[in-house]
Amino acid sequence: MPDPLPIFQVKIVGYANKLTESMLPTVVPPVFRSIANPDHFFLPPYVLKDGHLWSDQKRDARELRQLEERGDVTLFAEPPLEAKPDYELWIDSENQRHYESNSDAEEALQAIAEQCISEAEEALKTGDYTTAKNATRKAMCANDRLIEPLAIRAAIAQKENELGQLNLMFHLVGSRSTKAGFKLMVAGYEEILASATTCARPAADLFTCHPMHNIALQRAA
Amino acid sequence: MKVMDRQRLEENLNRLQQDLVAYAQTHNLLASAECRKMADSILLAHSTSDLKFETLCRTGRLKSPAKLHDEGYKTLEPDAVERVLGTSEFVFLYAGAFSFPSSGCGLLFSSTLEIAHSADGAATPFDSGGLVNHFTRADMSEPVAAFFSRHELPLSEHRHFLHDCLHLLFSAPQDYLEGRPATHAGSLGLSGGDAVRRHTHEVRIPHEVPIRSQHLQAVFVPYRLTMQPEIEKLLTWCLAEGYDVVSYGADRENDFTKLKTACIQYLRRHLS
Repeated sequence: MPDPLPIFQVKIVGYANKLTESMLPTVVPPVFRSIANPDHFFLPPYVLKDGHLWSDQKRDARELRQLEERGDVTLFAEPPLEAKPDYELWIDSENQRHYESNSDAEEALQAIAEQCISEAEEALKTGDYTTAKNATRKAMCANDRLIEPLAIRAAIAQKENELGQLNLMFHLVGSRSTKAGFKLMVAGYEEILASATTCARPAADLFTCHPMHNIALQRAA
Repeated sequence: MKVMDRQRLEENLNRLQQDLVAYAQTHNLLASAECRKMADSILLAHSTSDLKFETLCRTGRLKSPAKLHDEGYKTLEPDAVERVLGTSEFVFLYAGAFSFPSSGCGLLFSSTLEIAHSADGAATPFDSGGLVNHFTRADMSEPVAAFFSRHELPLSEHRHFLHDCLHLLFSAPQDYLEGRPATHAGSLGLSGGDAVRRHTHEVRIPHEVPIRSQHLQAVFVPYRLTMQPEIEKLLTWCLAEGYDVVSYGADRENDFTKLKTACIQYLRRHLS
């Protein structure tokens, strides 16, 4: 690994990824440009620690252009950002950049994730699976450590009899929760879904509506 | 498309093996532990960035730069590596762990893919992008395309040379797998650039590689992308068909590092 550069000797000119709207909001790895040598760009993987940047991924402007053309980096149309220690770059759902302290960025993304989970839960109550799925996807982009989005999706998959998706959600939760704990969480969302189908959805007619359907399978209060 | 001249490729293989033996004798290199099984079992890796991975899942296939250019996904500049070397109609994979740093997602394929393309595929004992852009050749007066041509190997037998390299140039064969540089430079006469990419065997398959095939081994994707519709479809299919799905949390400076770490852990289990 080459000698470290003090973080105040670089600026941020973009990020090393290319994302669609559905992949936002998310944290992104900055592309740094040396202030002293504007033809030197630093891409991940690198180490940011103690106000310094360690990187052996130095590129020149021609290589950076090639990476942009190949869809590996996004360069800002706006002016470069002053790089700061312990700061995080993230892109919101409107494709706007944010550069904040680690704790502020984490807080902002966590708030978005929680809002999305609430939105998904509300959508479950009305049986609006599309909105619920979109909201869980967004929550996952904002904070990939949460397991609520997986549980919501598992409950929907169960309801739609999509056993492949259900299996995927259990696979993805992996060691982030016990199987029993995750099952409990999924069951909670299934209850919301069950009440949505019996109460919130308008019945087509008296003969196709079965209000007691599956009641025996529900937990006792 | 560049025609695979079988005789040329086999002559290359024989010459490179002889050169390596001579190099080993000159440098008093001792063979390390048995590594034939490892050379034969190493998987084929292809890694890419988020957006391109989503496109791969949607189209269901890895496509050559020429195909991507024709379909408007990629611009193939006149000075692009693939144009310089005449490889634009091939899909690129590495025999080993993921090694392209601008990536966070990846696919591993079984070596059976090489058997299926033994007649029309090829390999080189180095990364061809590194050859054009980063490495220094012992004789820089030789055109890079000529050097490349002299080192193309038959796909059905390139692992014989890989075995020899693991055997002689690395202090332990696992070093190759885990992305540690070789202890000895070897007989190719390359220096500079990334030491790992100088020794990574690159495998090229013509035109395209279907993802949903019996050659697929595992899909690697960060958690945050697992609910993207096209990606989710592929992951669901993988689990249903018995292919491995590996997911991991990503963070800002280490997307690639996380991918590579997950891959190395997977490869260790695969080879044990």
